Amino acid sequence: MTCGGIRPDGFKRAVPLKRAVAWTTAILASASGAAWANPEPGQLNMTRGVTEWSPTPYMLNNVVLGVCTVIGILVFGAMFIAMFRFRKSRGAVAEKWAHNTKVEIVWTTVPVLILIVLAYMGTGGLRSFADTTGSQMTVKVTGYQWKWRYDYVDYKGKAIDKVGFMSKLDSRSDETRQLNSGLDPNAVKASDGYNTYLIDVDHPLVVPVDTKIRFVITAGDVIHSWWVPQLGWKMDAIPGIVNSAWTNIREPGTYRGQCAELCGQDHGFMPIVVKALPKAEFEKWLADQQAKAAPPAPAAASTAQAPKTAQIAPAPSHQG
Amino acid sequence: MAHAATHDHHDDHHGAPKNFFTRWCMSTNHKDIGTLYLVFSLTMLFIGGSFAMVIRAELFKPGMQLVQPYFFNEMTTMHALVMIFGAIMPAFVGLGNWMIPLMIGAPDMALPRMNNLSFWILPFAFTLLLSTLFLPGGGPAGGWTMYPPLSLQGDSVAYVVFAVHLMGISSIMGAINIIATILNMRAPGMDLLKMPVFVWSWLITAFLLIAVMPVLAGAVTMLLTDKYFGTSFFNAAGGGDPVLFQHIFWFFGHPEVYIMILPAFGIISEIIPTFARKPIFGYKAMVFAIASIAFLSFIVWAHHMFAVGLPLGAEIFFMYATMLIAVPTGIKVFNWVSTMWGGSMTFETPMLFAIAFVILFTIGGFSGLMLALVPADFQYHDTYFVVAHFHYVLVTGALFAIIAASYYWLPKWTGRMYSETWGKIHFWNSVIWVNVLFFPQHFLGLAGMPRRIPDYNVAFANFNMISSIGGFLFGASQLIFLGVIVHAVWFSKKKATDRVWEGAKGLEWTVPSPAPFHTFDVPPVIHDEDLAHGHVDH
Amino acid sequence: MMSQPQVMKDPGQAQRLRKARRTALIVAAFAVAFFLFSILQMVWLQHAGPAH
Repeated sequence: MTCGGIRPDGFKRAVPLKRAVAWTTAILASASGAAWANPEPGQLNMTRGVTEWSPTPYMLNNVVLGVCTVIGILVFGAMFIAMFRFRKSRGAVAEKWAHNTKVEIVWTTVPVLILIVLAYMGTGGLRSFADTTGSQMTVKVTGYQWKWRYDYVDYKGKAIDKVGFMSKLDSRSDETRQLNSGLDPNAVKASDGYNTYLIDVDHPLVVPVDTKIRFVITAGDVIHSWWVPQLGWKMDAIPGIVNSAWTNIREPGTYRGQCAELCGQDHGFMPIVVKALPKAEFEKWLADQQAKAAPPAPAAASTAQAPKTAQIAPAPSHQG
Repeated sequence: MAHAATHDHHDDHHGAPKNFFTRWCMSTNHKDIGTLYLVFSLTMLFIGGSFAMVIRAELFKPGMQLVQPYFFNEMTTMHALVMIFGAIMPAFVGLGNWMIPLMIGAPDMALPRMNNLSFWILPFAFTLLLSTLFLPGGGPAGGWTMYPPLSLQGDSVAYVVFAVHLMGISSIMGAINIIATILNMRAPGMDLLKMPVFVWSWLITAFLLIAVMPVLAGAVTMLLTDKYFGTSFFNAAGGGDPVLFQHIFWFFGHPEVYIMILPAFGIISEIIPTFARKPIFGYKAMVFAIASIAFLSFIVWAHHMFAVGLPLGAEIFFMYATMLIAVPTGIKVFNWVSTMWGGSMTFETPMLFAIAFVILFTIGGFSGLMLALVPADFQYHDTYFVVAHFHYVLVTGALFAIIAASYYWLPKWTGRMYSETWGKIHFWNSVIWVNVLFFPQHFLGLAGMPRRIPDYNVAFANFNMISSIGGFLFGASQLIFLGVIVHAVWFSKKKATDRVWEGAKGLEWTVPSPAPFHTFDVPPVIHDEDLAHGHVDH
Repeated sequence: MMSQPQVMKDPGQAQRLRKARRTALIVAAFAVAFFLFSILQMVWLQHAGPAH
């Protein structure tokens, strides 16, 4: 599997910094190197992601980390000054006071004000995430022990029939990850040299860029969680419940994630790979898939044990 | 029985029973039961720690080298259950048992026989739980949170449920005893607002236990009936809802994490004033902060569930409520710093651990605030960032406070001083290696490593190796702790004075060291200036 | 045979102990109530339909 645009030169995406806290971001970004790629050795900070929404958690993370760092420096600084100045060995004599209404009011109200600002930012991001309306495409994601199933439900208002497949850990990772396999995880690489050990699959989810895609997410056995860090969110896949979430990927590329909810012995071995293609290429891919599915032959082997239709299970919706 | 009672009356003057079995297994003495709790908890710390060593060894480098994935999941599950219910909680109950009667001038706990029962249930509960590792089908491997449907796939459901029931009954009886003791058995003159902060923190914690341990019992009972009696509480196919379990579990679970930290706040609030030789800053604010944190703990449970697909309104509510906790927690930290400010400080081992607690717990609090922000939590949730967060609050928080308390009161318990040199060696090793262990896990989580996985992509290799090295050395450092305790109990030649620490205040320092088998047969006459918080006008 | 608890020599302590036993019973009753309530509300939810 190739990884087209996954690790673009670091700062290409760092340029359009919209928020007022650009300096914080810049410091954090430079500290964390290629912060917006798939996991990199030595990565220190969250990925900025590649979607319309994914900068939201990233910016929030940076802002709150900055706030915490400043408070931490002040509080721990005061502590270390106290530890140095008020030592018995330096002849310090203990004072008697144990109360000061003024400073107590200050250190109660100042945190409240900071929290109000943070809460405001968090709420804004949440509102935009919760709005799944206006999507141009729907993909149904179903978690199984220990693989994912993707069913294409509709694209640009047209229902899609019989395009769906299972997606599980690629065979090289699977052989390597066996106990005492003797195989070297470092040797599991994509053609561009990027190590894909445990984060590669046999059939990636193929989606178009610049399209608002609605995901409906459920599970067939136990609870899983569908997470691709570069999309900026994870959503639990729960049997009997259909959750929804959306993404709008801005850059073509291959984006990798993993199941994020303990789901049994092979929980660590059910990765997620999303391949985002330019719209035209995606439409060609979709047409190919539909053509393959079109003859009234039995469905492809890979769809054997899952529902053949792409309908959403008539279960109570959890997302209100 | 009446005859036995009069007979024992005679024994009072001789102290503890001579017979080993009678003294320890039949004990109704708060000090002996406290010791039993503490020894049990130390044992469990090493058992749970050995599970953590297996986890860190497997995660030392990419690829599976040591254990099968299922066994790895058993280790993560058992590590959590043993550490939470076997190490941290019993340690606090043990400290409460030993110190609460001494601190409030009571002769013993209010219900001494029940005290015996609530301890002796625990070894059986943990035998039941740990035995599953040796049974066909293996131990629980669905995480300590026991989320159905996964947890119901295991063969050990009944064992785990009964073990949890026993632990719950033990905790509830312990909490009843502590509430009854604190509310009723205080010596005349020991008003509620003159009690040590540790006693206050335990009173509030005990109410949390009473409110939530029965809820956990209810949740696991429903798991049991779903597994074996055909009910469908959490079974979607039968009309149930797996998410309901998470709601009810975390309604227990969030107060539970405060059960593990509030007594630690109490301990730190005793130790810092002692070694700063200055009364605690804002006594009433400290008590009120603990109470508000306890109250808030009941309305924040769904912040553990931001990724289950809650309605928007619920996510906003739980985000705000969770962020609110930062206010009382901040007040506590500021007050500890202010207590040190203007003091006359010395840095014996208990103080070193208390200072490390304040700094490192606060770091855990910061990551907690980050986790409260829902959009960011969509990324953090169920990653190593969360693992780093709760180990900062539980290891460098709760466990460091327990270790600090052990050093602080050990001379009172044994009548001998521990080795200050080795205590400091233990401290520096612990504080360095615990950060090597847990700090890189923040980076792993931010880079995208999920929790509870036995193997990982090579991008995560460097920080995992650092973390594992820190883990092995932190684990080994705790053997020093064991050595210091063994030395202080049996070999130390240095006698402890009654007051032990120059700046120590409170009733527990007015009794001899070691504390005699029976104390406060007659209630002490309380002089406000002897108490740490005798003159409260603030 | 279990060791007998310390005998209260002080009349005030003996009286406080009696009050403590009553407190313990009340608290225990709350614990039992919480346990039953946690299950009963789930049973109720099953019949009244899901919460969401």
